[in-house]
Amino acid sequence: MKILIAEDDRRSAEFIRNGLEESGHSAECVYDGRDALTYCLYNPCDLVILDRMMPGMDGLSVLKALRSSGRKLPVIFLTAMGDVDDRVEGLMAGGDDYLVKPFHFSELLARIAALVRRPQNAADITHLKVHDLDLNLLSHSATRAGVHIDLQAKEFALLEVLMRNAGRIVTKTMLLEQVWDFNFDPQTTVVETHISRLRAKVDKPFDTALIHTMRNAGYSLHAPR
Amino acid sequence: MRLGNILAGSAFRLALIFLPLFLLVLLAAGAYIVRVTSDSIYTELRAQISEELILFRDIRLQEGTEALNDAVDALNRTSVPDQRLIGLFQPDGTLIAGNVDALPPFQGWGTISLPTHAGPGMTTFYGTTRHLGGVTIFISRATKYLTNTEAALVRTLIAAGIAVVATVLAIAVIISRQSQTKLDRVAGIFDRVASGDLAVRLPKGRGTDQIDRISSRINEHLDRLSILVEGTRNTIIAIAHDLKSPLNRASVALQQATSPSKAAGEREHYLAEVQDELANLSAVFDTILRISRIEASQDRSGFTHFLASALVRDVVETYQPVIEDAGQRLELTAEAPETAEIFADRRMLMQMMANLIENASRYAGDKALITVSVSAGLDGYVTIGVADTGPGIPEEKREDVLRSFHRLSPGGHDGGAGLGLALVNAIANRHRAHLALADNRPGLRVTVTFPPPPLA
Repeated sequence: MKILIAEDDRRSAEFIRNGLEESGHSAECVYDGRDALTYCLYNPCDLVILDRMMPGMDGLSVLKALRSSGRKLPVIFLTAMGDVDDRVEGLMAGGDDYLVKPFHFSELLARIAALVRRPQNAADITHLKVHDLDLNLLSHSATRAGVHIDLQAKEFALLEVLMRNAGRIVTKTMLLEQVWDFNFDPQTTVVETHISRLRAKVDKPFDTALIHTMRNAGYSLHAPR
Repeated sequence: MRLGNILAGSAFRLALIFLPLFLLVLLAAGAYIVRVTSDSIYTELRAQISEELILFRDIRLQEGTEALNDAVDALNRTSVPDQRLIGLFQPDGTLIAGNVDALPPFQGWGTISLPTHAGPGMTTFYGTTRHLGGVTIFISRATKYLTNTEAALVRTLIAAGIAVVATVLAIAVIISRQSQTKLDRVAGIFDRVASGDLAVRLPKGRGTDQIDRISSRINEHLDRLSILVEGTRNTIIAIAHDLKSPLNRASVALQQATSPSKAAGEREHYLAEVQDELANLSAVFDTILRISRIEASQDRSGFTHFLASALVRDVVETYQPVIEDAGQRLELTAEAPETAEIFADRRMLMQMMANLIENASRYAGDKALITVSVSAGLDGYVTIGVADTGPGIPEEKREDVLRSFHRLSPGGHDGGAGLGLALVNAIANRHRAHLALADNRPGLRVTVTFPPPPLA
């Protein structure tokens, strides 16, 4: 996949490029907002990682120009401040996701994966199935191997996010945003605790584990391989 | 002090604007006085002349025309020239007696001007011509003293006008000068504040004019400013101190990780430690930025109306397992009616509650009971409370803990950065909510009371 990195801090940009290339992507760096826009308009590109503050043209203006030119390629915003205003502004301007600096590289990879494979009709899905685990989004019920699993509201939401991203890594930050609507990192083990409770219900009574901890990255729900 | 500054002062300029108005009022009042005075003098004149007329009529009726001729003659002889005109005429206009040559060209009351007897110019007389039997009589008085009175009145009014102009201008200069002196003093103080002297204050004026009142307000603001600057200074020192320690720990761990004598497993352990320290540092920075942005912004575009109880229940359900795992208990003790609404930034409020619960859990100790409540008053105020059974905070320190980087235990080994309650305070202020810290007997009770939501 061809990814453009628009980031004025050259060391950070190079670091991201190396990481992406090691993960099998092809990456290009630009250090100026205007260059980023020109690149996106005249070169094939699958995804853009766009810094919020750049010389020449700020990230938000680049994104607006890109969207008004009709280019629909996914854009991940990088912001120094993870404030709600920045996030809302970025998403309103047509950004697909945002990431607060400094970030874990695995977080960036997970978000790229989620964006690229994001199903177009995510809202229309009423039923999710991974291996022998079934989740009915209409009746809010979960069964594994035909056995009903009693889940609390947050546990259900957590399982839904993991199952929608089955086979991919979902980071802690992604879970906090999508399950709890937290735009901050709690100083306690909110995610870990809830994952542990979910495991006790979804995995423990059964032979095979579906929820896996990906060290230093996040969690992944997938069938035994 | 420059004269230009005084003359440009608002007091002086105001005086200049109102001075023509003063003069106009004075002119109108003067004209009225002259008119009234003149009217009353003419009335008096008419009364005197009418009395003489009645006297002459009585003489003619009782003693005949001859006696009337003699009486007019006698009066004429005793009259001072240019003060009185009197004449008795035949029906054909021939003078019988008196000091006037011809019958005036009017019947009834009127004025006539004749050459002055004792000198140049004309003298004006006011009088009346009447038929008395077969003769016509003309009796009049000179109007000289009347015009003299009018002239004197006008002179007095002009003098008064000049006095008013001079007094108003003098008062304006004095007031303008006083204001300028006070304003110069204020400007001088601001110059000193701008150059870094935050201890200076405006002298307390004895007066209670606007400038004195503004001066006392400025002093209050300067007090606040110096507290803020002092707070900022302390925060910077605290940040430097707080960031230095984890940086130091990360540096030491990094040295250990790169030491050739360490085994691979140990290196990994030290590198993980570096990562943790840097992640904590980043979190501290995030919180500092968040606090300053929340404090600086007045933007309410992220505010929505939502149900208070639902949000509180949501956060409590999220944290219940976390708190249980920490060997403590978290309970929702009181809930506001389902309809109790709050107008706030939802995510900020969740962070506020998360901070309060995490703070309680961090400081309340093992087996502590943390209780969350939400209540609504009839007046629309909604209060969210988080209480614990820990050691609490002494009353005299409750205000301090709301400041960034303030910790109760010196050294900061409690795991917090001393930002939790500062962030809660910033969020409460942004929502114009009232934050209160109280004794939970035992423990700490924090309540945040939100004002009623504006009508949607």
